Amino acid sequence: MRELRKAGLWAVALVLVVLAGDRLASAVLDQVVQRSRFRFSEIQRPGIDADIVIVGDSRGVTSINVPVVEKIAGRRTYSLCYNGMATKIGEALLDDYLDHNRPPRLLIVEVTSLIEPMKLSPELKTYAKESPRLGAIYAEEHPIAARAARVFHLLRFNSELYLRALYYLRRSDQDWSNWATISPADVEGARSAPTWRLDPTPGNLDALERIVRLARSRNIELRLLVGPYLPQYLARAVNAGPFIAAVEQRVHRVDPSLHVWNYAGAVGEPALFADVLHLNDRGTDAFMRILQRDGFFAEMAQRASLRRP
Amino acid sequence: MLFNTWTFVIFLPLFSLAYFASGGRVRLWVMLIGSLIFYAWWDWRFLFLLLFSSILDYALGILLENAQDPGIRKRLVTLSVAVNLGLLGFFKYFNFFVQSAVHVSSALGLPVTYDAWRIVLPVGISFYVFKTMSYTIDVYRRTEKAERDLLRFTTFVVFFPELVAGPIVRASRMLPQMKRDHRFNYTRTLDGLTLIASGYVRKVAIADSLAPLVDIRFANPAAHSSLSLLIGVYFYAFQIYCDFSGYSNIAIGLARIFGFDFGINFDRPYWSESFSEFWTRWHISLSSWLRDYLYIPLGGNRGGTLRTTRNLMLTMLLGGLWHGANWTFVAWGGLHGLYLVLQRLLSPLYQRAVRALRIPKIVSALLLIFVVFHLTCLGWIFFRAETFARAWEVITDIGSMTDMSFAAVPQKFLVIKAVLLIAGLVFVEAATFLPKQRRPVLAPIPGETVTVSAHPPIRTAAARLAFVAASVWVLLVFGTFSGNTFIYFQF
Repeated sequence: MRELRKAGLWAVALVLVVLAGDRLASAVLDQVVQRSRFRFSEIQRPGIDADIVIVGDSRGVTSINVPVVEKIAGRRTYSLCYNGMATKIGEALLDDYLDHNRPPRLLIVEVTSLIEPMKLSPELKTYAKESPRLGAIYAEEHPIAARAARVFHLLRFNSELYLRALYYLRRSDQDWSNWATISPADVEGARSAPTWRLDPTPGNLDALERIVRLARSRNIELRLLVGPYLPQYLARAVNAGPFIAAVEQRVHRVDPSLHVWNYAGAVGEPALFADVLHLNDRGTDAFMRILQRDGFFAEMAQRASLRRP
Repeated sequence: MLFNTWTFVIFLPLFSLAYFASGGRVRLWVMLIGSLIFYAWWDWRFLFLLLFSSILDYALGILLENAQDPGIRKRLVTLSVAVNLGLLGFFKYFNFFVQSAVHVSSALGLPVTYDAWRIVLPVGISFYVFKTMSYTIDVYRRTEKAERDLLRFTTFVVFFPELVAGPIVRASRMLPQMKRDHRFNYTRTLDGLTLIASGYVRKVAIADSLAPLVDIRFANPAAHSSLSLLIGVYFYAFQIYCDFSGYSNIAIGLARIFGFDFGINFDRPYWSESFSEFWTRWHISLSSWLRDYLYIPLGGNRGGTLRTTRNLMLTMLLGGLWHGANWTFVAWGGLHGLYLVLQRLLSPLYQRAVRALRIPKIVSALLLIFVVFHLTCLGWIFFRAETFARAWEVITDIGSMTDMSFAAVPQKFLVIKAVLLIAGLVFVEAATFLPKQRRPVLAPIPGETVTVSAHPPIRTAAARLAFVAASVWVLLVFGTFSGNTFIYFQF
């Protein structure tokens, strides 16, 4: 009995020490989340006030290079894009951004993020405390884990997002670009790759519709964009046209004047790609010049100056 | 049932409650039934195979002890070995050998078609077959008395902590302990919890964090730079080490709580200065089994260089084959056999060179650790790759040194996290090499063997509490809670 009592006391002490350490350590680690310049952290504070904001997944990251856009458009630009991020999560980030910053003049949505599943959702636990919206998505997708994270606060920091928050503690993350170049073998492989589809998820389409409503209500110019794919890979897509039509049909419920700026096949040189889905740094530069040539930013500047003197 | 599943989290307290609430033979029944439930959770049909193997070797053990005629005794032990190896051969190697024969036949111009049978490999068969086989061999050698209590013998075979992935605890160690009645012991429980905590950190935090980074590299080596592949190989070395030593620590810790001393199964293997030392530190229960029941009966190192070379190669080739029905495992074993042979030949030359060049002892030791670790990593490439072609692709891609920049390494943040976890492990292991720290970790329990372990000594209740609490925090921040299976389950 004495042995059992000792073990019981030890177990109680263990639980208390674990919980106390959990609270103490999470308070320390939370400082990183709050102070970091990583995009998920930075948008939870005021002070960005960008003229151009971009929403999308990794294709949004590599298609639109923030420093280059700032140079050619002469406007403060901010990217909310993140690898594997579904439009539904992008919408939550945009809402958080607008909670703390004035509305941008131009909002660009890279719409192929409509096909992204919610695979980024487990990572959102890191920002569940700072952002009730991201917390709600996390709890919706992972109810048991969300409850566990309420008991053990340290679970929130078990994510790649936290590592990035740590890495970007003192420097901006807005200069992301991909330096790799796709290999000739991969270009050849893309020609015979299995056919693939661009199928938007219902949740992402709903989110896009809400983004369009939000843009209208806040008087934000909105551009829907499809960034470049490696042409050999794009040729294997079986429904690129119907995808664009489906997106336009959906957004026309709110704004019939909107259309998708389709640049899926705009860059033809394989050396400008990092892989079949992403431009590399040289490809981004080339693509930005194409957008500039097409008046993608200039038109915005004229309209914006008319609306917001 | 896996140790890293919620089912086990529910099973363990229920089993512990029943175990410590009972005593004597009732406790043996609790152990037996609990272990059978643990095994049946995977597939109840294979319980019959497990019980058949147990009962057969129980009966053969008694017959062996009673028999006086050497011829009869030899036939009995041959029957035990044949049946055990037959079971293993059928379930694990049947398709492998038939397909190999088909390939040879086709290569000789005699094409044969063969549709592989769909044979399910019973979990743990490689472990429990070796356990029961060594028992009958020991009884045959008269180094072990036959167990006459069927309940005790069957419980020894099926005891759940070591049933599915070892360590291979022999009857000579386990049966005497099973004759004692184990009451709840505070110190022992804390020792066990400390080992279990370290096991979970190794498995859930380190091995499972490394697993996806290794998988993507071995799945498509062509898509990765030389540095990225090299990182993948290093990561696999630590993944398999942490996966298996993690399982072993959990198993040993559980047994410790229930009053049993399994010994240790891993003792900082990557700090080995030679391959013979490596094999006294890696999967100790298997390597000592192979030494006692294969290498020494073959003649060991008696009989000259050629015979020793043959014995080493045979032992390591069969040790490789034990791990799986694939020629890549045989190649891995063969490579280690070759290392051991070369070490025997080159070691005197190296020692002479060290003396002649007056190389400091520490420098020589670090150099040897570096060489042994990297040659071990070379072996792991064959162990991990599904085919020789894939293994060769990894080796040649690394050797080409085409892109050694970190910029070309994918998933950098996860790679950095993995490196930090490995660094933590190396730091903890290095701490155990401090002279003052080289003492047994676990407190001696009267009547039990004192066990040592690859962790800094943790003696007081407060230190154990701090260690377990720190382990929980590490698991919360770095754990992968997807219930990944243990690598050695497939063996």
